[in-house]
Amino acid sequence: MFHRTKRFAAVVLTASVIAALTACSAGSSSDSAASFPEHADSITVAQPADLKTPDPVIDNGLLSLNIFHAVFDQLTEVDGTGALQPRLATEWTASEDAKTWSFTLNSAATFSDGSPVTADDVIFSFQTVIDTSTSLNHIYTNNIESMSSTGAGNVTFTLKSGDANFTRIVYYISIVPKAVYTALGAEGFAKAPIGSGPYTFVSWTPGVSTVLKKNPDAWGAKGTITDITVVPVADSEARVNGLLSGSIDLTAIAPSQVDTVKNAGSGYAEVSAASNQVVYLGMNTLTGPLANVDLRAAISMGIDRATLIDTLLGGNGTVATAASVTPDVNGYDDSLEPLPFDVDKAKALVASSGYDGSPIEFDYQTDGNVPMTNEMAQSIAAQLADIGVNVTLTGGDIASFTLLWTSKKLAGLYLYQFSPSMMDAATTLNYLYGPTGYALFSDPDIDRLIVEAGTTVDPEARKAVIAKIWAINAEKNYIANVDYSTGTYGLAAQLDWTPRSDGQVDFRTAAWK
Amino acid sequence: MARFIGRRLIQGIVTVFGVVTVAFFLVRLSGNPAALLLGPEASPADIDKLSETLGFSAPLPVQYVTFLAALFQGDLGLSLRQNLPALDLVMQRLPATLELALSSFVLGIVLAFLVVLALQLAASSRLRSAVLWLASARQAVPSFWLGIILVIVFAVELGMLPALGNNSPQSIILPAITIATLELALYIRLLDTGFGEQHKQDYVRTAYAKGQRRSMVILKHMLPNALLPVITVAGLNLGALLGGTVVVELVFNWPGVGQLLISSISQRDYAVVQAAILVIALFFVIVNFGVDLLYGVLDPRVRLR
Repeated sequence: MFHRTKRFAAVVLTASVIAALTACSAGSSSDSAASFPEHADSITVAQPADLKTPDPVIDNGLLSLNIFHAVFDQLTEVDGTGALQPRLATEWTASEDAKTWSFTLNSAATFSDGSPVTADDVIFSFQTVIDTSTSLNHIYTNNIESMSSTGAGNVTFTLKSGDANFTRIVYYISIVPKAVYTALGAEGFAKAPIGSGPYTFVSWTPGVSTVLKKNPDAWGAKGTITDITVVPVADSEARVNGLLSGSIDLTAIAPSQVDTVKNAGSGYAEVSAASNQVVYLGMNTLTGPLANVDLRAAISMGIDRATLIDTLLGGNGTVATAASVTPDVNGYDDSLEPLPFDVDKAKALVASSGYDGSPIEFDYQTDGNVPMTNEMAQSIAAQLADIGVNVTLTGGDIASFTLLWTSKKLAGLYLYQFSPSMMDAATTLNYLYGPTGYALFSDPDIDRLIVEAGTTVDPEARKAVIAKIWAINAEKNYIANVDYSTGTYGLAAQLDWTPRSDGQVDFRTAAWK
Repeated sequence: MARFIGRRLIQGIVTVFGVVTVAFFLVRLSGNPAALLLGPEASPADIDKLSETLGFSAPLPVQYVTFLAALFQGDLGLSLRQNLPALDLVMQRLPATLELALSSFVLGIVLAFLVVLALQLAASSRLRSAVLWLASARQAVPSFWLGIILVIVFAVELGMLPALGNNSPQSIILPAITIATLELALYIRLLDTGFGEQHKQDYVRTAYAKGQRRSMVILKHMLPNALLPVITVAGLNLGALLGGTVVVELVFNWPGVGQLLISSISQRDYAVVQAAILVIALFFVIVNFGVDLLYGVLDPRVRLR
């Protein structure tokens, strides 16, 4: 009797385990591979964040621009190396004071519904951004005073103040068809956006995917891949696992994940490219010990940048100079030397600064865009301790850190990054160095030079003005640049794709080998 | 009964109201979203302007009254990031979370019943110890770790199952196993304790004395009594699962409410955070209300007043 009960129990136990396994593996037999993406003529790209909305009038997220630059055209284009190129506009001219800009449109340009792209559409697109209070693109249109057209093929912008960088700013405003946008309204357009770019918009499922299809009749540069699916994957480990399991064909990866992809077998590849990202150590020089120029110089000199790059970033970076832009960014000064590392000299400077050893606040973000941010902050803190500078490390999530940064509440040192999306030093100077940005120092010479650079249209003359700002930083160490990051990507080995230095993903350059 | 329902209804409303109020103030105390929405290339002037446009320059009490007035009209506001009704965004994500939470819950609890019943029938102390040890081991393992390991083994190495997303029927297998095994461990321990207590009861001894078979005693007499404490915990647990799948959702990129809530908190997308918390709180209250009713039906000693 007891044996029978035991046998029955064993059967129940076994059955339950089999039931569980069966339930769990339902459909996971040999046909499961059929549900994975086929490589025929499509790719799946993973990026950390989703679109805010498919309406380019409202959204300005840098990751959203991957999609907007595929579906829509802009007046100009910043290419993969950071150089300015024509797109909807074939040419442009500026007044001497950089306040009036005139663009000539390509007469061959058409939207995907076949209608021509006219000056009316361009003015409408910019005006709609200006008039839409919730648009996040105002940062690109704030300086526009008026717009006019002398014909279907010309648009003239009059700015409130001279801006030599305006041709790059217009790369961030997508041109929408006036007739369609007006007929559908903003809400309707967000559901069925139409552009003149190489891809057409198919669908957006928030949090799940954005699907694009090649526009075979695109008037300009065409893509090769027919179907593009962009999936938002917030977790970096999940992105790599998605790549290595075949669910994803292309994604940005962290330097620490490069070896994982390299060692994963012949089906996967890693590509890298110089990026526009500068990782830097900011300093609040307005108060406290960092007001002393010797101490700031000591801190910069006490950072062993080469070791940080070799050990933490696996070599994916280069030692920074005093220029707060990378070599691919317009405004870089080739003549600058990599920042030096000299412990003895740094110690002497600490001594001459009169620093009493009291701990200095050191804020950093525990997640976000600084590669290996936690390790980097801890290593720099240790290196500073070696030269006699004590810090109190405080990590915060990227949102909390950004709020501290934008409210200028960072008290001492802070580890952060800046990646000028326009591939021009203008944004870096305005936000990291200028009086209207988030600089925690004040230098009238720099303020004057920023204004001068903004109104100097001649590229070489402008570069010379910007070089003077880097020279001041080399002398006064307001910002101790750490490294120029290298962008790293993982992709299916059969996928041919060229990375860009601004970190954007240009779907047009992707093709299966 | 009517009095009980009325009282629980009022308690539920007060609970949900309290949770939403706390969420309203906490999320606002954590910083202004304008800077995060605009990104690092925005000037302080741009941030101030957007902040004013979005209504965040008004004093907190004024914002709260405006929020309540809209809430009573069923309007939870627009997502700051996506410019879409916040409640719609949450409701779009709810099916995925419910699918994952309910399938894991059912799988876990059903397997736990089968395993514990088998243990009771087998009456093998060695087998019981082994199963309880395994349950403890699973409870000691963080779900995100187990999730990553499952992905590496079954998706990356073996290529049997998708690593992320919810694009095919197989997509749910790995995330569901991750959660279900934790549920399984919890209910095995609970049911085992429940049966352990029933063994000492007089009615069990009497049943054996009457010559009833062991299987009859276990299934007919002990099981209903061992179930009661499990139902209470299961109710609380099911409610918590709706908001508690967040780590697993992140690891598997499961497009559920948890992931939406996390990204909305990071972006300080007030409206979506409030809507998500409202939905989770409502679900929690409703499930627990249902459990209370069920408890009254199953246990005649309980009077619902």
